[in-house]
Amino acid sequence: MEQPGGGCCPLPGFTTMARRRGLRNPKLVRETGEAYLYLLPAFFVMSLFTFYPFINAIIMSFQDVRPVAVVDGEVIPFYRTYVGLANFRVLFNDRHFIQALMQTSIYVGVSVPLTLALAVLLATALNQALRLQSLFRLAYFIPYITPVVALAMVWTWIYHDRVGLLNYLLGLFGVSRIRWLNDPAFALPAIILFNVLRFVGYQALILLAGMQNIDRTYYEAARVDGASSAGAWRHITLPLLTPQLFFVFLISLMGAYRIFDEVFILFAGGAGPLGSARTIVFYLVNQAFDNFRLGRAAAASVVLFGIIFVLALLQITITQRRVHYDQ
Amino acid sequence: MRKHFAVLLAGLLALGVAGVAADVEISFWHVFTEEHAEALNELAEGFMDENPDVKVDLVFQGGYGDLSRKLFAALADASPPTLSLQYENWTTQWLDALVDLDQYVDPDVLDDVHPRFMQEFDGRTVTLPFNRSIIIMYYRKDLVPVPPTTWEEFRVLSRLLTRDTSGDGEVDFWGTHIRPRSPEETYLCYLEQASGSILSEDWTQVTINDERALEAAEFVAELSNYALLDPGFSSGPFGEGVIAMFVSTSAGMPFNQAAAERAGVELGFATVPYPEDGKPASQMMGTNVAIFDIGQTEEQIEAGARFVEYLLRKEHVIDWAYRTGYIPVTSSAIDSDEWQTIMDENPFFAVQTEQLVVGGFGQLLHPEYWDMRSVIQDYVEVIVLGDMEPQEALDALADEIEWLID
Repeated sequence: MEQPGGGCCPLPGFTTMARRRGLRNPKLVRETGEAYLYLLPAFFVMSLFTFYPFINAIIMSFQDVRPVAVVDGEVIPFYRTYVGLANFRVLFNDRHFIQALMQTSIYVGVSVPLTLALAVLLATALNQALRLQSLFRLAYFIPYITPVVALAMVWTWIYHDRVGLLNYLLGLFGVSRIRWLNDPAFALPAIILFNVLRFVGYQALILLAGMQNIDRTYYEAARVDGASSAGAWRHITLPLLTPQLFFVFLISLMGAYRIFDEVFILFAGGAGPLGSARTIVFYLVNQAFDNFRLGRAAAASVVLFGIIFVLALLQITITQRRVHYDQ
Repeated sequence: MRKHFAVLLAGLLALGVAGVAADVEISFWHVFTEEHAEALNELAEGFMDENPDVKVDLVFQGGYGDLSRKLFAALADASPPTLSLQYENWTTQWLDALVDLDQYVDPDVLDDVHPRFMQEFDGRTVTLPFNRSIIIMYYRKDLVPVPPTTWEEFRVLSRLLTRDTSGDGEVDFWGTHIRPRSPEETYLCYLEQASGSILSEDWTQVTINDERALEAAEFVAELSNYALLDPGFSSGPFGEGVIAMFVSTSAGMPFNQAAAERAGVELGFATVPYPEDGKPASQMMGTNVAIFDIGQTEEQIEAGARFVEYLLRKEHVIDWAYRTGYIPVTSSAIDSDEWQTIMDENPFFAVQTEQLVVGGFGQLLHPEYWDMRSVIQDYVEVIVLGDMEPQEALDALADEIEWLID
């Protein structure tokens, strides 16, 4: 059974077996060395832009970082000093961070399952009507490949309370004007709606591909046994779709926790009315690059990392038992 | 042979001169584009003509946010520019990296800076004003024949002008416009006008919830009833022709002028209305210039100071203000006949200058002002949107500011 989300083949020399065998086999040693040589540029780039900042952020989360400080009469630029857990203490006493934490969790809790549920329905519908599939594929992929900044700019107009399309359409049904981006009650729903529509098509296409890979013979056998189409969907499609569902769920969960760009554009660089659209990454960026509180921002990033890490672990252990692979 | 020798000598001399020309190089980080950049360029060229030993390298760094981040990064690398624009709340973050200007700049030049702009950080003079603007009132001349001068007039006029013009039962024209999460400066104007403050003078007490602050908060709350509450700049709704007056920075004048043209109306300027028993105060905006100590040679610092002196020379201050729309920052420029003529010809310059002279005030220079701003914005927004009673909001705000300064 293939591991969920796992890559293809192990790297040369990656397993103990190969290593043991490899040491005695000069050809394998050479090939392995060559492989590492090819990996070197990528490793170098990743070290510089991923591993180093990652480790540095963890270190910084325990430090007070100042642009400049005078220590013993000497001016020291970028002064860093260890402060233990002080940044975390400040963080969890900061109303804005707690608000960001809560709101991001609400956003993730609503938008991820909602998008996935709609994507399953959409994929099922598309799976029935295959004729216009290439048209649908294009239509659903466009929002996914359009830069989020451009999309958000368009949506600021769609959401405009006086001249926006959405309020105009709602007005046709007698709904009175909603201040989408200007009312604390609607700011988060506005972002959820924006992102559900942005991702539902992409997720549906992945699920559709999964559905089309399910062997037809299962359905034929089910029909012979007298199963209804709803029954077949429930007992064949859904279980055999779990690898794709798992993949989409995991990826969107992690992505959702990192939400930032759309908030930044929709609310013109602010955190929404009364901070009602403030997310963890927004808080982090604001603290680090507007307020120059790098230690506090690093602490926030460590908390965010912890949340995503724990969720991913939980999800892997729980779903592993329930993921069915048709192999 | 002698001829060859002469050529060689001339060549050496030329090299020598070139060597002198490249003696000191100073960099100046700024945010100006188009006409503003052109005006600054000309100032720098004029300075270099006068000071052939100095080369001024003007470096455009994007918007203010970009500039602050780049300065921060440059400081981390101990390689900031010689000179840079900066807001007061940036200056407080890297005060120790800046030069005491009174040690380098001619005292006459320092004395000439308009007193409203003189700021001391921990008792030190580390910045001088350059591109400064101030909050003023803009209005439509067709609907507001005489601009309001008091809060009461502003409130009443806004109420009278707010109405449903299409008859569909919804208000579609407003007396004024308020950005709920506006930069806190507008509220701070009203606070200062009512003789209130964020902190006591010695910074030990939070005073943003006392009765003077409440007066300002209640005024904002009431005005919000007759205001279009929209997060964008006022030039948007003004251009759509749906508001009559608004209070905003003088730096936005070109945008507001363009908006008035879009709406087909004439734009008027006035000082910000203030309470009858209060002060005609208004917050000054824009940035100052400072010289960095870190990573600079003594010659660079000295050349930087010479450039600052050049920028603050009367004729240059007037030229810069006239071409960019910023306020002249020295007394000699403001009191000059040339500026008087400009004010007589253009009411915008007159109003802006008057607003500065009667009540310009600067940012609170507390190191925690970064975070204070953000919480002030939060609670001003609550008040504007009517989600909390003014006193309740101010008390909550005071608690948060107390937490910040502890």
